[in-house]
Amino acid sequence: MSRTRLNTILIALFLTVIFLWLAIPFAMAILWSLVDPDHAWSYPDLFPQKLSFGRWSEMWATTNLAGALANSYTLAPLVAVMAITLAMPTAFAFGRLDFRGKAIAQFISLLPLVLPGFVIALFFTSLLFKLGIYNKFLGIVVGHTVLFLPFAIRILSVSFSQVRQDLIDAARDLGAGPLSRFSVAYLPVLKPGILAALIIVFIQSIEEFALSFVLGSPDFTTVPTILYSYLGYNFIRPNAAVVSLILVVPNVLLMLIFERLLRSEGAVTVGGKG
Amino acid sequence: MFSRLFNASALTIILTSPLQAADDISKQPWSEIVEQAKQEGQVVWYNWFMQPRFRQLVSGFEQEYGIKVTIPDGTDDGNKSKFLAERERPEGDIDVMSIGGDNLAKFDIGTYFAGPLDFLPQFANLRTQIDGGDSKGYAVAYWGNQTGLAYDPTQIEEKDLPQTFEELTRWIKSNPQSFAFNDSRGGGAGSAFVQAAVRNTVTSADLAASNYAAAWDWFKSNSNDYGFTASNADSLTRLNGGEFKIVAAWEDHLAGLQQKGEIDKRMKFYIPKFGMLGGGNVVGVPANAKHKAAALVFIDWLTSAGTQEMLSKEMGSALVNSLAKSAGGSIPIEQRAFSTERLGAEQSVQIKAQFIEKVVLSQ
Repeated sequence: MSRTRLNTILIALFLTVIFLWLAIPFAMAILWSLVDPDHAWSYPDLFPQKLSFGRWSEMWATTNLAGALANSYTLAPLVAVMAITLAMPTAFAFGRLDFRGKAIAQFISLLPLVLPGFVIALFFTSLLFKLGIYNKFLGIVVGHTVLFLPFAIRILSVSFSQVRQDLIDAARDLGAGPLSRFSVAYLPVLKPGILAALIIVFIQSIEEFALSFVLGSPDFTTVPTILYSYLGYNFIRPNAAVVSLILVVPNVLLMLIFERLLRSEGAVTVGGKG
Repeated sequence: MFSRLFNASALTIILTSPLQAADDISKQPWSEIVEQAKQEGQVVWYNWFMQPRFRQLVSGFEQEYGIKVTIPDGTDDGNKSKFLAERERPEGDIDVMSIGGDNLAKFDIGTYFAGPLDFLPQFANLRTQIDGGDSKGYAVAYWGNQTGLAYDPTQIEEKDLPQTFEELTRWIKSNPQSFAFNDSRGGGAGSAFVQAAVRNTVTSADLAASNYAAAWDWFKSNSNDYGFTASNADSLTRLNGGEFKIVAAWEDHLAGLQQKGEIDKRMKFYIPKFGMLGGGNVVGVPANAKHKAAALVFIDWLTSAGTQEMLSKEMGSALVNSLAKSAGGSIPIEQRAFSTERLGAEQSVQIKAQFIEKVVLSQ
């Protein structure tokens, strides 16, 4: 089988998977979100009897969706930036240094991933109250940063380990100060790692429910608070579809923006002959 | 040593002083409590179901007293976690807390709630025991619910509905994958059906001795013929989608979803002769509530006869105020006689655990 033919088959396969995995559920979600409140979509109808934007306006008016969106999208970038800033030194150590107890340190840094969400939420909230931190926004920022540090540390460790020592040495030999060395030798290789860590921590923070609810409610609502309640006991599929779609669109837009902003040509290109 | 003593006394103060504050409030005349409530101006009620609907229905209270009601969008687990986490704060976010009657036995209510609430004006007409639980006066019932079987009348006629447990067994065998109930971890309708199966297959001697083997045998022998869904909502959604003809469901849940246009209004509900349990939920005031007076006035409104009748009419709940009059509703009164009480708390927990161990995991 020729190369091009194999490529064509693989692309066709890929597109089929994408269609079944993404396109159909998306289309279903959009269709469900447009179901008119007075005409339920039920068996044996193949399509809803009546479509309207009634649900969208109702959801926007009755739930605090606008407020929740504002809260979530102020919280998430802040958490992402803080997590990366705090993770940098640790990631540098894990990626480039060798020291006694490194394995144990790496293990400890993964602990927040091990415990279930509500357990962490419950006890973290109690801890924050004991420390006297009652400001909900601050509490959630601290909580989320701690919870998602493992992601940032792991990703950035890999990035740091890919930075080429000879580039750093060359830069130092040519008289570059610490800051220039960082921007010339480290940053180009770190960019994809920073991008990945930012996106992952951002998405995790946007979708985190347990801590933001236990700490934040009733004043500070986030989008998952609304979504989880609509997906749980109050499962009303059309309304849940509306909230899901609202949650997806900004994420996709942001990903496109990030992708453009932090594009990197990769370690080989930066390093020259390699 | 000194710090330990300080902590111990601080703990004692924390545990007792909110109760003392409630005692102060309980000694005031009701008109003063109402005045104080109006001054407080707001109340936060943590309920885990039908919050959007409740937000619409409490507007009557808001207009009458000028007190704003906030009902956060929480989940059952979320609210419980919040309640536990808040306990150590001097003043918490929760003013009124809803608890399922079957959860009352799981914690010492006197240390978590303010009360007892016997100074409420209508206390004599209210229930403190519901769904197998006893609130000991610290919480009162505000919601009664009934489990039963929801069915699609276009797929099965009323005269063909199975009524006795033997009829159901035969029907399941002749209509495989047409009957479903949910995993008890996803909601109470499934565990209600499991309890009904236990009561109808296990002899009373075995029941008293906590030997439920006959019930697990029934489930195992029919495991290919019944459907097993993930949650209350999943059962009803799949009934709506035509996959099942009969599912175990909550009456109020079905009514709520029909009202919201999620489930087609043609779906009906019945309580079979073999009996399914009726339960309910209670509300109380946490010991560290910020707006205690407003909370008490709200509870008084929520449990009043007029409000109970409204909730029953709008959301299909069962009445829990002895003065409230039934509006009739969709289920014939004779069927209400088939409602049973939930088995005791310890037995319910055993049955739930054994069902998961012996039926779900062994397949």
